[in-house]
Amino acid sequence: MTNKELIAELSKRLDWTQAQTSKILEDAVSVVNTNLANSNSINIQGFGLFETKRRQERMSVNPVSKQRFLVPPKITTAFRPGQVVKDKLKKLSENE
Amino acid sequence: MNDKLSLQDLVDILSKKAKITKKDADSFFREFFQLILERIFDNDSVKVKDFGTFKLISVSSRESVNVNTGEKIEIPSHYKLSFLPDKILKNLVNKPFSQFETILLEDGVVFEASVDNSENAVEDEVVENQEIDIENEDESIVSEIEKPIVVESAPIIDNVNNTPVREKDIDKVNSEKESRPQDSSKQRYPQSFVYTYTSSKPSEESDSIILTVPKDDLVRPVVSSEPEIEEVIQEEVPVQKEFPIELLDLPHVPVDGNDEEEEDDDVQEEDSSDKSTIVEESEEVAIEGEKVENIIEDVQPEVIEDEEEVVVESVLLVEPLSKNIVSDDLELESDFDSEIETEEDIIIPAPIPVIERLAKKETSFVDRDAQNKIKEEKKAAFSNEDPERPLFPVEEEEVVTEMDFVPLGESGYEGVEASEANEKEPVIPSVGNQRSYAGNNKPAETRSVSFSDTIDPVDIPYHDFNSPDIGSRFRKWLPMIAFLLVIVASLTYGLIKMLNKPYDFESNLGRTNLSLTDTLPFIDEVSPMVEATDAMLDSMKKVQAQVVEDTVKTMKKEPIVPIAKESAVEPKVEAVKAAIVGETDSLTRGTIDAEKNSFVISDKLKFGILNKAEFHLEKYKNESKAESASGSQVKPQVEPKVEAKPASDSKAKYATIRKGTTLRTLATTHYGNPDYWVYIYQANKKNIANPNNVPIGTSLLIPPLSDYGVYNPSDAREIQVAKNLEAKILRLR
Repeated sequence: MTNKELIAELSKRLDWTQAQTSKILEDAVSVVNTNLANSNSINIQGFGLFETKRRQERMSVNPVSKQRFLVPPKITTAFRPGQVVKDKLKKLSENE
Repeated sequence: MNDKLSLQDLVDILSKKAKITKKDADSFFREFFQLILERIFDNDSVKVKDFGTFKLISVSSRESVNVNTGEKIEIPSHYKLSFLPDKILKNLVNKPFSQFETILLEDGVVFEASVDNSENAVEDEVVENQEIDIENEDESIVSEIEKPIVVESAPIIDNVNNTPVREKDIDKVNSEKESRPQDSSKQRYPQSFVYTYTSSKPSEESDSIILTVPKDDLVRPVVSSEPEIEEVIQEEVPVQKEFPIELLDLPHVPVDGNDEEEEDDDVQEEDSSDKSTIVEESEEVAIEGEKVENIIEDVQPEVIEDEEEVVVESVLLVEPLSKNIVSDDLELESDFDSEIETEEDIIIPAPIPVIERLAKKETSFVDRDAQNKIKEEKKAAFSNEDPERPLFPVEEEEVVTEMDFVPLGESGYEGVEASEANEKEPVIPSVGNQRSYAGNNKPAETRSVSFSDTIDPVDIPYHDFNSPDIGSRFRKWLPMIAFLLVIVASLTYGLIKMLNKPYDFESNLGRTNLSLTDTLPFIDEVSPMVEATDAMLDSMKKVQAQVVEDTVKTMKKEPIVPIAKESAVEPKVEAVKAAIVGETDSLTRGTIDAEKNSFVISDKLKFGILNKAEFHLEKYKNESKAESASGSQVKPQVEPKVEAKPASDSKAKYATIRKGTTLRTLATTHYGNPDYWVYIYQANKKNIANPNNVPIGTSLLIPPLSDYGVYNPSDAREIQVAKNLEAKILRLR
């Protein structure tokens, strides 16, 4: 599902125009992004938790050339699915 | 920062930002996440622009181990909801660390080891600091141990309790020393790593490794010398304590057969435990009195011999150890050597006071107390001072008298100054100055003391190392010396001022009254003829001012040298003539002297012999024409100088410190020689806090050099004077 399809589906469900939905979606994403950039964590009930994690620097080796690299520390975004989602996933795997 | 936001918070922010109702925003978010979940569970990925992709990932079953029970379990295949952040979100989140780049590491750099070692190194340092603290405490303990050896049994037991602890410390120290070389070789890496990390240039790593080396060297000698001192003290103490053992002919002699360090420690621990009993016995023995005294006196030489053997052994113990530690570090080796020497110094004389005390214990109780007091005072001094250099008052005083004062008297710098002072003294023009002149004839003691302060600073650490007490003596004398120095400085300063005054001929020009004191100092130089002129002066005191002015005018027009000649100082003029033929420097000096004579004397005197002057002038002109070209070249040089000086005197120049200008550059521009900056500094002392750093914008008075007695800036001697002054100023900082 691409972004276009998402907007189309959302506008249909919310009864909004596609332009309006697209604009609101952009705003919503920017709100979430800025909060994550400020290392705030965002917990959404029934969906999951968005948070930032600091990855320690590490050394990696190129397996072909055997060159070693020092990878600098970085901050990444992490998503932990909530309990509701986990249960659904479990069900999904049990059904199969 | 680090807040936990809920959906409600997001709704609030979004409604504000997109200017929609909260209800709309809330419904939007709910639909949004609901839709994502729905699509996910339809096994479809959902991509949100600028945010990321939600995807369902199936994880195949795998075997694992139950952490608690150790049983093998199988994790069934399951699905996982994964979120892959978009590149935009990644960069946004990683902004604080965005400047870092992945670095290619060169061969030979052990990254993991270096990280570990950096932590270890820090720990090591901490441990070492603690060790040093412990050692400091131990030193006080040692001094305690030495104090009450036979006096009372209770404190001795305390000390016995202390000694094992100390020896454990030493064990620690030794083990640390053994491990130290490895540390130092490893310590290079963390530092090099840090360096490359900040610079992010892997090619410079090899350089950075070299850079770290001196740091190690700096750290290590300091640390490793400490435990060595400890050892010295440790070995000193048991030797002293073994004395009663020898005395009682106990079979247990711990010193022999100490091949290994650990054995040594063990034996000493046993030894210390034995000591409590031994000491009690020795007390009994001491009570027995005169018998024991005799025995002591008999045994004393043997004991000393034994102890020397001990010393040799201990030296043997120390030396291989030190070679193990740092065979490449020569400085350390030399340190050890010096310590070994001091060790011998310590040990050999040490037992004597103990014996004395044993002997005197019975004879007079009061005596012993007094002695103990003295002992304690010494010990206090010992513990306060660096333990490396114990006090031996008798030797010290000899050292002080021989080493301190003799070389100082010879020191070149003071000699120069003194000779200069002597040169200046005969020229002192007024009676008031004769007192300050007399002030220079201080008793030899005070003079030597004042000299001792101005030793070359390089000498001082040398004294500190070899004969420790000179330092403390120095400190004792320092206030007095400083006070004397200030007095001498003020006297010389006043002297310089006085010396400058007669040079200030402009003010003299206006004076009509000339007293005897004005001419008095010149009697020495100027011969009895001047005395005659003085007599003449007195008689001519009521001369009309007009005449004086006339003479002054004529003087200004004519070169001064010839005038000086006719002031009845024939030999002097001869010298001046010779100078003209010779160097220009000495010529100007001669002219200065001539000026002095002419202005001071001629004001009143000259009109009487004006005709004679003209005659001489004519004669001189003829002579100078006949002379070589150099002579004629010099003459015009003299004239402008005489006229220029009053001008420079009357109006002082000002300069402002700009960016890039220093006192030295100012001196170069105004005086032609950077060394004369000292005079600018002298003139602006209150404006300049630090001559090395004058704030930009400071406006400075550029004094004429003549104010400081400098008439020829290119004269090597004047430059030397300025340099001496510079050294003095900089030392006062």
